[in-house]
Amino acid sequence: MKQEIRIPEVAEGVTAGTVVALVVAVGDRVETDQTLLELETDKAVVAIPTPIAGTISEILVAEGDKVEIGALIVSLEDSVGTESSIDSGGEDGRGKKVQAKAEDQTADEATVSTEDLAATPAPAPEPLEVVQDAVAEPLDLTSVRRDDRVAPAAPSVRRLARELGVDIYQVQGTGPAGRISAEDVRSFVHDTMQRVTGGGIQTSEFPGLHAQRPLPDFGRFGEVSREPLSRVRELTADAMGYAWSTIPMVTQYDKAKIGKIEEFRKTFNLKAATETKLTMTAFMVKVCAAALSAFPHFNSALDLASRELVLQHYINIGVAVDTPNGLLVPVIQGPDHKGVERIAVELNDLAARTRERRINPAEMEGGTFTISNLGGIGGSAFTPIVYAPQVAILGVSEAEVQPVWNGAEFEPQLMMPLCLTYDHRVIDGAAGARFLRWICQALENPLHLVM
Amino acid sequence: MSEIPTKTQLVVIGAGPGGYSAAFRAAELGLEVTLIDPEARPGGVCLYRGCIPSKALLHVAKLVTEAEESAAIGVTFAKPKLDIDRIRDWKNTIIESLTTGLGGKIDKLKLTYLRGIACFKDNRTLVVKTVDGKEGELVFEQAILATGSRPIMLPGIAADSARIIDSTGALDLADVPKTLLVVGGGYIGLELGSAYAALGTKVSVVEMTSGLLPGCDRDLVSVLRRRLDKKFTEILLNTKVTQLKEQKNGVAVSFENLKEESRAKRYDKVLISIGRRPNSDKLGLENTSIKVSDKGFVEVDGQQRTAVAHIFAIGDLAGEPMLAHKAYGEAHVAAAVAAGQKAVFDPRAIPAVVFTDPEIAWCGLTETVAREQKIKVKTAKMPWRGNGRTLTLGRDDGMTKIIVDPETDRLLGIALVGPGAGELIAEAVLALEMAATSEDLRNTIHPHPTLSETLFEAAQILLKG
Repeated sequence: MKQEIRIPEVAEGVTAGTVVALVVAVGDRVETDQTLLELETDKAVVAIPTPIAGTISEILVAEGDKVEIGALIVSLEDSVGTESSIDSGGEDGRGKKVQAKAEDQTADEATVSTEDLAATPAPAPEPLEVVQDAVAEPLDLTSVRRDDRVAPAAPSVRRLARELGVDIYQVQGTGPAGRISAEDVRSFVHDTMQRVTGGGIQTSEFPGLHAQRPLPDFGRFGEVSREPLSRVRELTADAMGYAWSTIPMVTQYDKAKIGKIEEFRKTFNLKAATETKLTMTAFMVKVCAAALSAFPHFNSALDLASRELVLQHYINIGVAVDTPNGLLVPVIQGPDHKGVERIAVELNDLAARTRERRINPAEMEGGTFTISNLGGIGGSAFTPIVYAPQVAILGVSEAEVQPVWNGAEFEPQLMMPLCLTYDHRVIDGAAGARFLRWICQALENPLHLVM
Repeated sequence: MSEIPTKTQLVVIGAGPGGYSAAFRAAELGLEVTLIDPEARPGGVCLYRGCIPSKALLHVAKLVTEAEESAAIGVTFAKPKLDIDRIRDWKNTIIESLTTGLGGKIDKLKLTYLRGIACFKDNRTLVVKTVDGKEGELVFEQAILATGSRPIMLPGIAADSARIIDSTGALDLADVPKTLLVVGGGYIGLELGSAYAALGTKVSVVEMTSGLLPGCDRDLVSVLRRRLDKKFTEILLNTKVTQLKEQKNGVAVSFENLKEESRAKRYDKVLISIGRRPNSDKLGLENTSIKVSDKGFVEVDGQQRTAVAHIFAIGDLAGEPMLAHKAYGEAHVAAAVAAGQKAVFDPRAIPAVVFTDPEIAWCGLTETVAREQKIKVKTAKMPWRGNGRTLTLGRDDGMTKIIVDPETDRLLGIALVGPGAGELIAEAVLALEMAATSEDLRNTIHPHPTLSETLFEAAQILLKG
């Protein structure tokens, strides 16, 4: 029986992507969960698996195609019911699907016809991923509706809904007896748009684009070539442009004596049985988590519209990873509840998958603070840019042995330069200095962490 | 008259309330329109043989009745002299005036008006025959069918019978018969029967079912019935007409009731008002892919499209209720959709009005339907005898009924019986379209002293209990 595979929802807010690799061909036999293609979305390449086993009968996309969530990508014949497929069983299934939709009007309804699923030998674990796109369904203007089957809304409101392409039967009325107002219809559109776009970039909110002045004719000065911005570059430009133009930022510098902790790290790694070695970044994550607990305002977001500071009662620390495709920031969830060793393991895994672009977009969401460690490359200091809506970011530069005056003489100390950039709207200079000093002291004497 | 064009953007067949509204609206929206109807001017049954002439006669009836009843309040008139010819002329002047106005609009909107009939050759072509003998093929981009309906005649009755007539014959007002039997106790029979009764005819009504106005709530009908019993000679329910025999000086009628008791009686004239049927049979629909129901109605979707997407059907042709105002609504939807707009015909309420004395009007859910479909409702009934305006009109009969959803208080249906009920129902229709609650009605200030206060008072009853 013919089955249609569509692009499933890969992450909240992701609505489309580019097919970067097709890993199957027509005639291939695929098992459940086997990868069909790789999709480059906002921040990652996601492998799209098949929810069912079968033989590929048709591929409807090509490498380089931009496809939307819910788009049809592959048709396959599943192993059971092949004989019944001759009389276009798939077509029947589709017909039923459309009917069921028209009757139910449910927004996020799973639309695989049950007959098709029943015929599948290994039922897909998440059948609703096969088809999912109720929003794109055109508005039904043809059904005959009268009397009590008409939505409780004034005729002018019903017209507004029709013009906006809104199925008024999906709108929840907030008026007396559930009466639907024009405002309800507009909120429905607003909420739906928010859900579909993930509240993400709208052209008008792309400061990187809008702030740009017309470019000169570079050709007058010499030869140029142009390359398209990758999605990662586009998003980085937007995030950085937005932060730079809206957040008044201050960068505070400090240095931490890390001789003792470095010694511990090396000794531990020598004895460690695991393959994963402790890294300085893992220590930094742990120390920062403790610092964020001690300074909750650094773990917040500013909500100017409602004149409130959003204090996050959880800690997630993003760690900037340099990849050939640009800067990506996977997130360590809840490092305040994890040991340094476990953080190191997770970091290692996340970083490796990020470089290979096998990371799930969800693994890059929800950060409350960011660490950018450029120590491996070199440099003595830099000014990291806050990753909004976070309010602070810690930059780490290369540690080196420096002469430090101990009151009587200079002694050699391994010093690590730290640069803390913070949102000055939320954090005052004194607080910034205290926060960074706290981190330095914790690195110099990790016992602080357990006090 | 215009020559038959070879092609048109939009053809509208039938120039009754549905057809002319659709044609005018489409022209206003920028379409090039051809309108086809056998009459010299637009108007259709509504203007020529229905709503308007019957209301003219009912106005005469009202004057006569009020003059008679005014004796009770101390004003006595001489017995009225009825000049039937002048009454008929007056009625025809009204028709003339209204249809002339519509004719003027045809010129103003630059419509092509063809006086004739049209029949489909296929999904894109009509064969048009004009009354002056021309014939031609008209290719259309879109079509709106609005051919309306006609009275159902009993089988075996000659079409030109002078004594056995339908509503058209009754409205011609050829004479005022001494006795008249109305076959069918629906709204057309009761309205025309009332008019003739006021003109002096002894009117009897025979109805096959157990009550007058089948489908209407019984409590409303019983208010009307009390008055009709005084106006009509006889109202026979559960009674069938088994034979109609036209004789030289009358019509011999045989009846049979439920107990199979037969009787026979002679009447000067018999008015057959047993229903109407859609005019879908002479359009050549069999040459198209348009679907027609068992009852002869053209099947349409929510945008008035037939099974052929570029052909629309509206009004009586497109289904019950067969009412001009439903046709107006559908006409505007069809014209807007034909012009590319996203219109839908989705009224919450289509009002029904019976222009008897007292009038009956209702919209939305009725108690009868609520009972049949076991819909939970809360009902408030406000008799008019406590209403000041009713009493100052010299009346005491009337009732206003409000039906609400007991959980949400949302208005589901409103019904009125009483003089002027037909005018009062408009407020109720608006309330239903706006999805109002009885609280909304309560908090709307109604003018005093008027009959409309009964709506407010009925809503007050719901507040109390």
